Amino acid sequence: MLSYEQDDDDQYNAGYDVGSFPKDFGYGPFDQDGDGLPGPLVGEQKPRILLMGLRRSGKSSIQKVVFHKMSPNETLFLESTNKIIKDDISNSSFVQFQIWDFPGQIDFFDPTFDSDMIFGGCGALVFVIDAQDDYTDALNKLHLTVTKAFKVNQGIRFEVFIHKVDGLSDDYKMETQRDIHQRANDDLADSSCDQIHLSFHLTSIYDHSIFEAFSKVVQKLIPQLPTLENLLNILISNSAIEKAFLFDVVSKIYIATDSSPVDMQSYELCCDMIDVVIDVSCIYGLQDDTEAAAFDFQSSSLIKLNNGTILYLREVNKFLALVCILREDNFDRQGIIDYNFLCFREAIQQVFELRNKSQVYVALTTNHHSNVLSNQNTTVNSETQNTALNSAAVQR
Amino acid sequence: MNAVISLCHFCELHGPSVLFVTQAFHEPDGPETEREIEQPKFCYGNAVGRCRTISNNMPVSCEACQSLDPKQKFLCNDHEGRISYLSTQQATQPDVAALVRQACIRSLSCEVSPGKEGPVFFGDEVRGHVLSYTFFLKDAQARGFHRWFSITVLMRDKFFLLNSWPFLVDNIMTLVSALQAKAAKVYECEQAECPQRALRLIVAHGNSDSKHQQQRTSRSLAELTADKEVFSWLHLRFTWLLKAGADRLVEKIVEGLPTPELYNHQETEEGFTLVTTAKQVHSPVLELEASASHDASPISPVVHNIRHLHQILGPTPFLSLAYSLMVGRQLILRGKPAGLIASIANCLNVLVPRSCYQAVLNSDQYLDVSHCNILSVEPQVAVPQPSPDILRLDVLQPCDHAEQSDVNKYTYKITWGDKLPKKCPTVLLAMEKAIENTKLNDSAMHYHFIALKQEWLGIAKVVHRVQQWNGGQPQDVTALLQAMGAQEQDQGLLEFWGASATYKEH
Repeated sequence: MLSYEQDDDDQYNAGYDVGSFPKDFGYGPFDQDGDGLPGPLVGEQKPRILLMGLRRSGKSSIQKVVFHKMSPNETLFLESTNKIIKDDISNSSFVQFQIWDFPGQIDFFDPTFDSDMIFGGCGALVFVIDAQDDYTDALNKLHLTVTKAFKVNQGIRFEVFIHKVDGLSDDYKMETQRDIHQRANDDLADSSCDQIHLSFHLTSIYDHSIFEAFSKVVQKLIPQLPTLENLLNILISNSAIEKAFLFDVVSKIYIATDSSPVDMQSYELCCDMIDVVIDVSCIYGLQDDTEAAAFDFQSSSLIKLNNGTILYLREVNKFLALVCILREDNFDRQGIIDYNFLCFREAIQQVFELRNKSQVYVALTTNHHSNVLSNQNTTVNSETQNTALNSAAVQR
Repeated sequence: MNAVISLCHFCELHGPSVLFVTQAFHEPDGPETEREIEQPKFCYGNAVGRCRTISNNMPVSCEACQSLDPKQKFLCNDHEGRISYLSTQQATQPDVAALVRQACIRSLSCEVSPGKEGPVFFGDEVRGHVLSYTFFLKDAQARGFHRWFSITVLMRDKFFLLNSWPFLVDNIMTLVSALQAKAAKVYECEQAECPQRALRLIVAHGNSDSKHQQQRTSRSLAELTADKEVFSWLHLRFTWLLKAGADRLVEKIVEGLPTPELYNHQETEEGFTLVTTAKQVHSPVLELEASASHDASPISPVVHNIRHLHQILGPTPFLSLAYSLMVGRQLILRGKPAGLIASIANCLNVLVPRSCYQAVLNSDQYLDVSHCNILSVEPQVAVPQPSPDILRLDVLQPCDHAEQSDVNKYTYKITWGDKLPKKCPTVLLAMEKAIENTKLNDSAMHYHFIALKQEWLGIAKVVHRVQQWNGGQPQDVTALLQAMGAQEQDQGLLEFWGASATYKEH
């Protein structure tokens, strides 16, 4: 049996063939820069994140909480997933990917399903393990899934979410992680699949750990990550900022941060700040046009905490926000920070303009994807570093 | 209806699984069955016997995945149609079971009906065509407070299935709403007793011990609907669907000369042309015999089959008769008793394709060739003189009354204004050979004739088409005839067969 995804995609690929459209008959100038090529081409490059795991391990809950703002308590009433739920989150968010939520009961390596189709275009495979339950079966399933998926597609990144850890004590958490890590890697070593690398995350939908874990998953799928990190590093060192996150506003996952270690509390603080900004502007910001987004180019916010810390949020583009944490003492020269931010924003825009261009280019010459992209990134790097240096000059 | 209807559900533990399958088993019918007196049997098509071939190696499953005990079956018989309807948990033959299982997975885990509940059609030639109707039943203990079920109708015949769509969907919908009403009642009772939403919230925020207690296996359909007899009820409904679905549409080949009562240009609600498929035009032999039995002949003489006819007529008269029938001349069978004449007409049926056989039996006046090419009349009826286009077979009764029951004692006289050509059509010679070949038994000969007729009908259709396209270029057709293995002597036959087979397109 063919899985229906195959039929679907085949049809769509055929139906959306560029040749069948007039050149200017695209999908609107959403993220185009006047090249005249239709949008769906860009969509084809979308990486795919698969959510797999045993039944009742919390896959649908994760997907609902992270991308649909469902309250964690509501997930108790979710029905069991009976088919692959494909969630395309690219039109509401900066991160362009699809989440596929799998039913845990069905074995998708069965020959009746087209595993090439399922795992071929996949960027990351998230395997969810229920830490509150006996995870022996889950580990067996993990082993099977990982080895088989690896056979189909060697480019997949494997992420293991040790999920539902909210009910566990800290010691027990660490013990569980160590145990699962040990056993999963031993299994892989036994079947001589050492080249498969698994990353482990402790997650729970009742706190921000799931967002953090998902952020890390998504970051690995963003080819511009080193550039973004570099830009953030330059920004914070020149503006005396302690920590800066580049957030995807809708999902509250951060797509980049500077290279200093991430402290969970500061991440939560920033998440909450985004919530505050969005909520306030939803309630008070919109006059009669309810269709307009609550987050626009003027969005910015400043929150002073009583421990001498400041949270500062600025809009970067339609989907992205920069959230910084800095000492109150360092905020006396806000003008310079704002100027640096403008430079930063311009640099980011340049990076992603190139992305759009290169994707169009890639669509035409598919084979040289990585090469072209890295070349362009390096040129941007030097350019943006120059602008950042300019800003540094102003600071002195 | 040649279909398999099954109830599937999405099990919390095991994923999509087949719950209940109803199949129809037909008694295999050979060409001879009509003559036998049919006794009602315990079951037809060896329905129950076939069950044993499947080994019961199903993994241990939960209550929700079980409907009937592996040894328990429901059986309904249609003694008239000689069909058995059998319901089991898994389809009885392994190959059918595999198809049903695939249809089940697809209906519950792949295909999406707009609005989640409702009918959807999918499938192909290899895996069968499936109409699946997906629906929820309320269940207070299930995740999401409902469970997924689907009813699938699996069929090989896509057109039949799609034509039955309105009928099937309407009836499945009533069936489903009955189930849903039952389940909703149970759900409301349970919710009134103990609201599950609140309970779950408490459990989730309580200690982890109580969480594990909550893990129960899902409940069976009988429990969900509070109806112990739900599966026997389903068996009856599915059986009715299969039976009524079969009676609703009858397949008939409407090739050849359309009779006026076949086509009266009525349109159905769905925009199809309504074709009344009346019974064959000639009345059954038995009926005629009954009417003739007043003539006080205790055993009326009958010609059993074409071989018998060949034997009593002798080779040359038989060839003339067969030849004139095959190339489209009119046959007039005149004589008494009517039963004998009718049986002769019936025997000739096997020589020509259905579309070339237009018989009017026991007529009281002469009808010309546009009405029929085989006409049987009583001796006193006036008929035209034999000409090249009309062949007459007179059956004269022997004088001695005692000899009237023996067909060999009758005199058969053929009058015809033409004579046999030097070379008879190839197909006729092949048939004659088969008739004379005593090693070939009757049923083998029957199938041999069918194959021969199909072959030559195919050639006739092609030739006819080509002639229509390029009118008046004989050399083209000759080359074509040669390529298809036909010769000059076949041309008359091909013309007649081709014209009658495509008549309805005019």
